[in-house]
Amino acid sequence: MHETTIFIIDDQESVRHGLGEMLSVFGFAVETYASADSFLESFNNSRLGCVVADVRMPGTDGIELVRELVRRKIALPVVLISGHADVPMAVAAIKAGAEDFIEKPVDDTQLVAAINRGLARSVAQLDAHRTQESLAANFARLTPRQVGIFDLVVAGFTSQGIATKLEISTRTVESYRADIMQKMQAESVAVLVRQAIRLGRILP
Amino acid sequence: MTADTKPVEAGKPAAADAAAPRAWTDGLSRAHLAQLTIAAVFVVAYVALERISFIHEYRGLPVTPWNPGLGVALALMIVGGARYGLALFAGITAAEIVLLQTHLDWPVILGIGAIISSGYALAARMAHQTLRLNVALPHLRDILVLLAVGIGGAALVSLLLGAILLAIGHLQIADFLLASGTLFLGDVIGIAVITPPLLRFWARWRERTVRQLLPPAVELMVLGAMIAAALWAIGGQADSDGFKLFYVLFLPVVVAAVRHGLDGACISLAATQLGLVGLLHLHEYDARIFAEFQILMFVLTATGLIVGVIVTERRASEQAAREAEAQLKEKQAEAAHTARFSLVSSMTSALAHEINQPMTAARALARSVQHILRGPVADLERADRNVTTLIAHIDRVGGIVSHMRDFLRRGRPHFSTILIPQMLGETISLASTDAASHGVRLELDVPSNLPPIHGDRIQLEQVLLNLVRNAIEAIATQRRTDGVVRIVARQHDAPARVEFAVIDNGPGIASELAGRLFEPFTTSKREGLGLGLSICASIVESHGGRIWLQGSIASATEFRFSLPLDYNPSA
Repeated sequence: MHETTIFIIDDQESVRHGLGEMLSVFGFAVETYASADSFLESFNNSRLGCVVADVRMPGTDGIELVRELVRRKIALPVVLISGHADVPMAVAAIKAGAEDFIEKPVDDTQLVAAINRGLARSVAQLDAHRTQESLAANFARLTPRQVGIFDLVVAGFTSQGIATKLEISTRTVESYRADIMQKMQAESVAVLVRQAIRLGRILP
Repeated sequence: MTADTKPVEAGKPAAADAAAPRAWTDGLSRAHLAQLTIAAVFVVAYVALERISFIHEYRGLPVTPWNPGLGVALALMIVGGARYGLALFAGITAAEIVLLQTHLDWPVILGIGAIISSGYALAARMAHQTLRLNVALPHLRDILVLLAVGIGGAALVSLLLGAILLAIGHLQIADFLLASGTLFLGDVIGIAVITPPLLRFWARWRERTVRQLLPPAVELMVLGAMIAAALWAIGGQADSDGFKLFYVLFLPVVVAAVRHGLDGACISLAATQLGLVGLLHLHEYDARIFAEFQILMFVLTATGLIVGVIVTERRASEQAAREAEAQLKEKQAEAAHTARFSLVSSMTSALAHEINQPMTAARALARSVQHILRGPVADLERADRNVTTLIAHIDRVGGIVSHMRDFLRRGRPHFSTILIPQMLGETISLASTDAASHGVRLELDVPSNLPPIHGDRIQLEQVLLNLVRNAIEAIATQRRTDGVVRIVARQHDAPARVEFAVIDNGPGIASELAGRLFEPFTTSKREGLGLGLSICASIVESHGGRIWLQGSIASATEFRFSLPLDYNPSA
């Protein structure tokens, strides 16, 4: 598990310091930035955590920051805070993809809940991403002949059916299947089918 | 005409209450009883006044240097209605019989009484109903009406009486003018001297301000001494030339009239008159001197009354002007106050932000301290540091709120000595969040050696804030990022003044608007009322200064106002 950091972005020093101090006492690792631009400049895509940003800031504002992260495909959750929150602003924030939208003065329970939710979601996303990556790697190790038999297996053909279709012996088919199951680290045909769906080989 | 059915005057029942005992209400109504009582009192008073007014019969005519009873009668009839003519009739008849012990026949006595009483009842009725005399005599017109009515009544009565006596052979043609003339002047003086103070007294009584009738005691004594000295000078001349010094009497009367208006004139005239009558009792003057005296007395009385009423009138109008001015000032202050509210409400979102920021930080720090204290190992040093910062944030919020409350303070303008850099600093602090939220930079250019000015700090801050806020809004319509509002203050000489300028690089002001910027309801804003600048103008003017648009082209709009350094608002 990687280290997670809370990135606090607010143009007001007092707010930055106050929130940073609170979250750090709560046990989070905290970094503060005076603007969204300075944050984006120094951010490195391998880092994990959650952004807490003011909506109204000179330069890139909070909502633009959320859009920018989406555009750069950075899966970092963003909790927006604002002193003059109104409904259109909240709607715009959530539509842009913000994790939550909290009014100042910030209720810390709400803030911490939003941060934890964002972190959990990003960890889950990461896990899913990892799984997907290893699955693709496994699949890449299959030979073209094995890929052909994989597709027939997940399409629902029995070993005998495959043998008849390919005009090879059932025994040979069984041997291929065992190799495929091993390479794909699948315990059963059911697992193999689920992997095929994830890989986009068949429709669910 | 004595059966006058005019309803009793509005003020009458109060006097009736005082005069009529409650138990006597059977048979007669209380109002009637009161009128009868007043009439009876009047008859007795009339006879007594005739007695002391040196009345004597001259060829059948009841002649007196002045006729105070008649003055009382006229006042009574003006206030209470012409029905009191009956009481006058009774009084005259009684005086003829008791005081003069006349040898005239009964019909003649009754005829004389009837002519006098009906003549003056007619005069009173004319004054009250036709000429609409204001009983409180507030204007010159009322005094003139009263004098005219008195003169008219006296002329009518004296001519008729003269004619009757001439007809019955009691009076010779040669004596007619002298006898009628003396009678006429005595009546006119009695009315001129006695009726105005009685009417004034009546008016004061109804207003419950009788005490204000008299000047302060010291002044009263000085005036009394002046009158006494003048009388002594006149009386000291044993011969008939004494009246050559009569003009000296004008001095105290005019002084009293100028100092205390009509009331002063009435009182000094009454005192003078009493003194003169006393003088006439001591000396024997012949008929010619007697007439001369009466004419002088009438001129003195008329002069005193006219000067007095003019002074009263002028004071009343000055008072009204002062009240109107005070009211206007109050309205201006009220309008300025309302404008401050709308100015602030137009910045509410910026101000809420200004308060929310330190509140956010303070709350977070408070929670951090709580967490530290509840933890297994409390880092007290860190908690203490956070509490210190927290307190600073709370103080900042307190400062903003109290400044806002100051700015929205209601009430009269409060003039004090203002340090200009301090005032501009406060204006900037009020406007800064608004400026920041529109991406506008504020610049202040104030020499530190500016002299202090005298004025209402809140109102002047309002003018500055209004100009700055307009500038920010103008820039905001362009959505530019290099918006700057500059506030400049400079001292100038001849005349010594401080000029303030608010300069912005916004789009400028449309030329069709520039000409009437400071008129109410001129605005270029969609939601603006167009009152801000007109109120700014009235505030600056109330500080003896002026406000103008120095110039407006795109990227350089400059408003200026100047305040004199030596302004004294009470002047």
